[in-house]
Amino acid sequence: MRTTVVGSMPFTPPRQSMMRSLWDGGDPFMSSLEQSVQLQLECGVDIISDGQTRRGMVELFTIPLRGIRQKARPEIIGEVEYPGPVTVPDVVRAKEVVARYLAQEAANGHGRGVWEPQVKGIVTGPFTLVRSCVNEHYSTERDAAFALARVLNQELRELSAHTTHLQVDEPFYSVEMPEYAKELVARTFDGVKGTRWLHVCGDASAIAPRLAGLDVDVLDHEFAGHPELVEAFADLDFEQSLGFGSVRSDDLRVEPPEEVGALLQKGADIVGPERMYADPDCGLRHLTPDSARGKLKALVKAASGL
Amino acid sequence: MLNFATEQTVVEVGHVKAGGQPGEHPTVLFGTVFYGKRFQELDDGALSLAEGMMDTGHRMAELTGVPCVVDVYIPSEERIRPHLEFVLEHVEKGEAISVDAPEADVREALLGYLDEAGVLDRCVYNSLNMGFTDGEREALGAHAPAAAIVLGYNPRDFSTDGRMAILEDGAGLMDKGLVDVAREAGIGGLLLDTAATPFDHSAGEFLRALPVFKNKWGLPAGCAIHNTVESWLWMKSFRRGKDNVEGKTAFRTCDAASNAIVTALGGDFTYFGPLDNAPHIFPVVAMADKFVAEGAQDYFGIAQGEDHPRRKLG
Repeated sequence: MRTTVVGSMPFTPPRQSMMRSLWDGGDPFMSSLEQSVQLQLECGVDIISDGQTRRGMVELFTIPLRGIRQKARPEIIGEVEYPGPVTVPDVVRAKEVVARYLAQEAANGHGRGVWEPQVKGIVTGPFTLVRSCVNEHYSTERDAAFALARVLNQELRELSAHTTHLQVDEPFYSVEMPEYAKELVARTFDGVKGTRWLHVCGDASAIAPRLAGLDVDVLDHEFAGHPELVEAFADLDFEQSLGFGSVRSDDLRVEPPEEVGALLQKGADIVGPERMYADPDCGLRHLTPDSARGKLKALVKAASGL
Repeated sequence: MLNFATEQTVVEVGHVKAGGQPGEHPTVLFGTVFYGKRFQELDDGALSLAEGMMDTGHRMAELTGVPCVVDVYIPSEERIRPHLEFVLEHVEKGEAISVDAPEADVREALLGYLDEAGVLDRCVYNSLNMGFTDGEREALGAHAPAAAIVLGYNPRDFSTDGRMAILEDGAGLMDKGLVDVAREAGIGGLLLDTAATPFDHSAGEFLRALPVFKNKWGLPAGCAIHNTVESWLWMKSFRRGKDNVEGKTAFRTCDAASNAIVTALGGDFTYFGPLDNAPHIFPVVAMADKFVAEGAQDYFGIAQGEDHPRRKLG
């Protein structure tokens, strides 16, 4: 069973180095990206992220996208336009860190054979973005959502040149899944080649049937924090693989591998281990590095037993 | 012209007054000495150059009525005493100076020296920013300068709101905002720097932040806009070449004009780069001050003193 993460990691560069970047033009977030990637690799995660340490998931896109200005809440004030690659440079850098790590491991005689960690590309979904903004431009929220979907599609196409795993995060779906969600997801992923992930955290049990009808390859949810999801999916006929959140991302306690394994087994009983990816429930931004490390190690150990 | 509903504080340090309503006082210009390769060795040539730069700044200030403050760049602890002793010998008694040290440990030692030298009461500390250390914070409390540049640089959010957040509540990067940190250290005069960022890094936002900061805090606001012009990629290429007169003229023109933009948008001060650039900076800023002052008096009834550029350069 392969392992992955949802995205964010608990690292922030030191304030002094962030300040120095104003004067020397350097990128202060390289250090937090490297720490994030390093931690995931040391834990043996198969599909890693760049750590998303630069900004929160909303600001990561509302700041660079044209047509959105930053206020207490971001405001859509004009046609949303794609400014060029947003997260691609960090994915590329993460891949460089992976290559260096593997080379170092091989040089030290610690090569792990066929283990080939990959970096996933992640974008915040259009519905989550539109619900996080004040819409001052488009006639309807739906219009704004589809405009954002068009732009995010461009980012995903750029990412697909660098990775085969592409994830869209839509936490707002667990609060309200719009009636046009199926079309919106399709528009977001339109023409994108690769394994298409949809991450919805929170209690998604009520919308599980609608999620199963989406044209994505992996549905990723919080099975550790919301065990009712196990039953919701057990009763469902669906073709996607499951990103099976099996450690809590909102609790510092490090679950022992046996506990994680028992939860993963419940997923395996539904879809079989070959249709599962073991991951944390959500991003790990709010944990400590030690807690994140403990949880990922437990996850990898538990997954290896299935 | 701009005029603010919020009461505007005038910060007085040494010989300068910064702040108030636009048109009330001229823009304060800070020019740096001892920065760069020219001062790698502190030999007679370097000291002579530094003296000439300060003379130029003083002369332009006298000519135009735009106040000049010498900003003393200090790259290391070893340079604290020689740089400051030299500058203090070449400025008037009671004249404000600014001190600029990029490294935190140098800043800590510098504050102690300034106290020992008895010049904290005319010193502008450049700058209190998000990179401050606990040691620096303690040193500021123990040796509080009369004034400090408080820098609104937020590496996560270059918008005006992001820059404000660093000053107001720490923007999630610190436990409190820099304005509170400065006030708790006992620094009386705060000058808010909107943090000039390069083109394509929300350069418009640090200009938009000037009236926003003044309106919110009622404190003097400004920036080091020279840094944006200096880092402008097209201009770097255009001005390349020792004999490239056209390119160098274009750079000097843009560099000078950029300072005038700050004045036009209600700004109270700028850090304009090397002090020997004063001859092409001061007249442009004086002109901008004249425009703003005339508008401020015509529309808002704000009068200027005889030393204001509006009166001096009739």
